[in-house]
Amino acid sequence: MRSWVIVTETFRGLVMAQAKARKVEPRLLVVRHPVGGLSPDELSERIDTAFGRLKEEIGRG
Amino acid sequence: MAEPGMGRMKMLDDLAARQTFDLDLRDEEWTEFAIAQGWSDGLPLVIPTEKAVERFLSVAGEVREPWAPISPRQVLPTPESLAANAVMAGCRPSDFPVVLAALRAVLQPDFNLHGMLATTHPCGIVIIVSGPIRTRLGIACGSNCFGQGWRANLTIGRALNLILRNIGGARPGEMDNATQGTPAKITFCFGENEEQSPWEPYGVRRGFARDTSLVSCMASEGPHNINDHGSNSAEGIVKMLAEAISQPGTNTIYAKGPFAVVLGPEHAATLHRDGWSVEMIQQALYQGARVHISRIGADNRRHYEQNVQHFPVDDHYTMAPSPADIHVLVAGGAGKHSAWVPSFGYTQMCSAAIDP
Repeated sequence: MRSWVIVTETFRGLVMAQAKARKVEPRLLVVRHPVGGLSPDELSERIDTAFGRLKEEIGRG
Repeated sequence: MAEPGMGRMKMLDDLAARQTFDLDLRDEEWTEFAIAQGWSDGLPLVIPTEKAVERFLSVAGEVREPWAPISPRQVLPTPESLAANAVMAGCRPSDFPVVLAALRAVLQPDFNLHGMLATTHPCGIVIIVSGPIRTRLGIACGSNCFGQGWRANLTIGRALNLILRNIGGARPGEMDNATQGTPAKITFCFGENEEQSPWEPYGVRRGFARDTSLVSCMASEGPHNINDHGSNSAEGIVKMLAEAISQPGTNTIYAKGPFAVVLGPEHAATLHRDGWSVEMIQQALYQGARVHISRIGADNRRHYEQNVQHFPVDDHYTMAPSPADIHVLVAGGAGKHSAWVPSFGYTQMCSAAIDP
């Protein structure tokens, strides 16, 4: 089963560092930072971005 | 102490394999070199010469292995790497067993070292030292025990944080993503004032024999002062403590975690005079330290309830999951002050005996 990690651009470095420590190479879906404290419209943009990229990735097989 | 000036230094590479550097540096050059390597917390470091490292290891006796991997990099430490960081922190060899005990405590799964090092929350590690070693090492547990002036307190806490930085890889901006951080990330270590505690020492209540020395560690913020010069009764002091702890913006309400209450000896004496046990204080703080729903905005209430499953009881959010999650002990000197030490939330107080 394939999986992706949704991460904001600000925490991309942390995620990659953590992944390196565990010797894994995660597939990332990167969205703009932040995710918390957003209006519903702003949050929708993040969701749409992540979902759109997920569809692209799945489409590539 | 390390030899000044120059010498062979034991340091470790990223895989914690044994590696020594042959360097010929003056003191001031060493400081710049060490900071450039990323080994420092921002303050000058003592030179970890081979001789100094060996001296620490000889005093510590057998450094028990295997160690658990140290988060966040999940690197296995060697005894030399641990000693080198204690030397750099400014410890004396006799302090090293306390540093090792603190490391054992924070490596317990309940402590959640990985989470506390990577979080945006400003948590450091509180190290509470109990037992006879406090007096042997001069660990301050009386006046100004959270403050400056106490070599053992400051260097033991600093050594643990250097180990987590240099072996664990918890460097700010890389693995450590604290939004603002806290001075407690540099060092936060003190002794409990057993001599002025009217109750069983905290270390004994943690399940250790009275003649056993131990550390208790929790991922925590620095201490928050609670001033009560006016109360002349236990009820008055407990009310002040409970009201001061009832803070909507803390991680303990957000994550339903433990906290510590460090009573100044004068507050403790009043509580004891009026017949209060530690269990009564825990129960009273559990009942009294709560936040009314009117103090929490709608968005946060939804967040508490949907994301962390923290639901109000009788229109109040509790500050700890249970009375037992409220750690009560005595430290400090004269004066009408106590302290609240809120935790990261996703952590537990973890204790470990100090060898030998």
